[in-house]
Amino acid sequence: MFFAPRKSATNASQLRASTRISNLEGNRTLDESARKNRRTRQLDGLEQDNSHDDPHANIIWNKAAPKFGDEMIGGSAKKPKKTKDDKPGPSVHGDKARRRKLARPEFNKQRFKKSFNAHVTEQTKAISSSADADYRRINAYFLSTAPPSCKPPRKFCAACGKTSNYCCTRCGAKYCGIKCRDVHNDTRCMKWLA
Amino acid sequence: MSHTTVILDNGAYNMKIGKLDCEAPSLIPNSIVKAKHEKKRVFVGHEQSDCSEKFSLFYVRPIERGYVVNWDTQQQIWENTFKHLDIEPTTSRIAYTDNNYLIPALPDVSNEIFFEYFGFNEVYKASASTLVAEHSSQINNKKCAVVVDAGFSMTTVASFVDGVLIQDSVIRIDVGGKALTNKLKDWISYRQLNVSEETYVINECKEDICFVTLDFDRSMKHAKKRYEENTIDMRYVMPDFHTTFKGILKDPKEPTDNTPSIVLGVERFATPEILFNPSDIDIDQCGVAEAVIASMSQCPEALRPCLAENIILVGGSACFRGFRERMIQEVRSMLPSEYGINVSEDVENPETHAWQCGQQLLQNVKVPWINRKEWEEKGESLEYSKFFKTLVSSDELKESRNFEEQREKSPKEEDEDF
Repeated sequence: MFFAPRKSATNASQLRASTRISNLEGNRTLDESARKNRRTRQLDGLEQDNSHDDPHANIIWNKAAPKFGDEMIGGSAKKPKKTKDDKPGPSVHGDKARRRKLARPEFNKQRFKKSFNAHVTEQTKAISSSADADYRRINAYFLSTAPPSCKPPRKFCAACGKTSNYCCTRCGAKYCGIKCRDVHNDTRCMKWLA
Repeated sequence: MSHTTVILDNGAYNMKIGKLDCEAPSLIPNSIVKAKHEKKRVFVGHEQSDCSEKFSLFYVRPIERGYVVNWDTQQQIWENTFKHLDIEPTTSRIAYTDNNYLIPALPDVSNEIFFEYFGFNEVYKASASTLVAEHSSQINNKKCAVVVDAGFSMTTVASFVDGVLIQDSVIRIDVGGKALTNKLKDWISYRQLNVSEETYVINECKEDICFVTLDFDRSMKHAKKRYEENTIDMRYVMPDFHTTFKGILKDPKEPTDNTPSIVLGVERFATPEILFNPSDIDIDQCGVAEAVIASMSQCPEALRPCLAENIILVGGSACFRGFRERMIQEVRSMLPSEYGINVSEDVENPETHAWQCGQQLLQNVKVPWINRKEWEEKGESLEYSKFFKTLVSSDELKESRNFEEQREKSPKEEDEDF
């Protein structure tokens, strides 16, 4: 009489859940796809050459400043110009080289836009569309990828590196004991690369 | 016509370069370095030895994942190197290694640079693994070879018969020296001291104190012990580049002064372990030893015993202490007991072995050089027909591919009919 009859369990929990509690970080878990995303980002990081920015990125070069390799005496404004002209000419074919340079693919400029795999796919497409295609070169890079191991993966503590038995309920990282779990929760859980 | 022959093994970390008649190749870093303390200049290739303070160096590398992608950077480094080693391109010919002739992936523009920019007379190309395999078949008279190249950006395993590649047997693992250094950097930065910018120091540290363990579980047990019983832990005192220029190994029990140092325990053997078990860091690929077996199983069964008797390990990452022993142990346990096994018997230095093989090949065997005229007439296809020798030719592959495509198509058509 006093209480409305319960319709279903889910409804009841919906009623009881406040936005404050559901927004608490502790309740959020990463689903499998998000975990996979994190993993691939982490693995891409392993191929990086530098983890910091180019220290010379913000240097503004003064044209009149003496270049390294200039002679001290008579270092007039003309000298740097001369060295510039000399530079591309160790070969007899210097002129041609300059012309050809334009045709060369400029990877470094597009590097941040396109991944390495995209370049490989593009090259494969270019070869397969050419008239006399060399079939050995088509898709060779992807076909050569190592197959997955037949041994099950081992588990290591993310904090200390030793063998671990437990798994973080939120992000799936492994840990070996209470101590390492606390370290993980305080530092990397949900913050790792996020 | 040609006076000198230059051999260039173009590695991602170090170039191995030298003239045909010199004893050993010069190792020159294949990178341009920018230093924080020195803003007036950059260090190209060999000039890196002039750089006194190797703190937070910024590396510009022409090679990514084993393939040259930044040709301008590469050209700059080559130019500098040729000048440094007194190589006059217009009177020489060059033998050059490129991964495209093991696993074709990216366009190869090196000819343009060699012929048009530098003006070399003739060019010969091969992959480092091919050089090693041809050397073992033509000089050492071994019929088959499995070449494991543990490089800086990837590890490849490939089987050869008479120096000819069996293309199905090429296996690529995306773990190399760079990934190992980066992972070690990650671990140290998280656990002890932020070294994420000190690629140079940590790379040296990796070379100095990491080792491949023969029994991972036992080493792990040792690493878990405390104080006196622990035989794994080691302190690495970082160089300050004023009084010390190289890291110093110390016992962790010794009292320390204020110089920054790190203590490595599990990391010492867990880092190279990634090569044998990439799944440890969530890479879903098999390890090197398993890859050797997988590569052999792609070959005809009659060849397998012969392949097992000649496994050759090359590349800088194969220099880890215990790498060869671990390889023997793992491969042995996965092969039938009647197979004999030989792993890298006559390899002195895995890092320069490919260069040495190239040298002996060029001294004793005729190789197909191509000159500028031939290249201009026929272009890229000539290079692949001359330098990329595989057991199954393109035409045969074409037929089998077509066959497969037809088979794939035919059920679809049936579906449409319904």
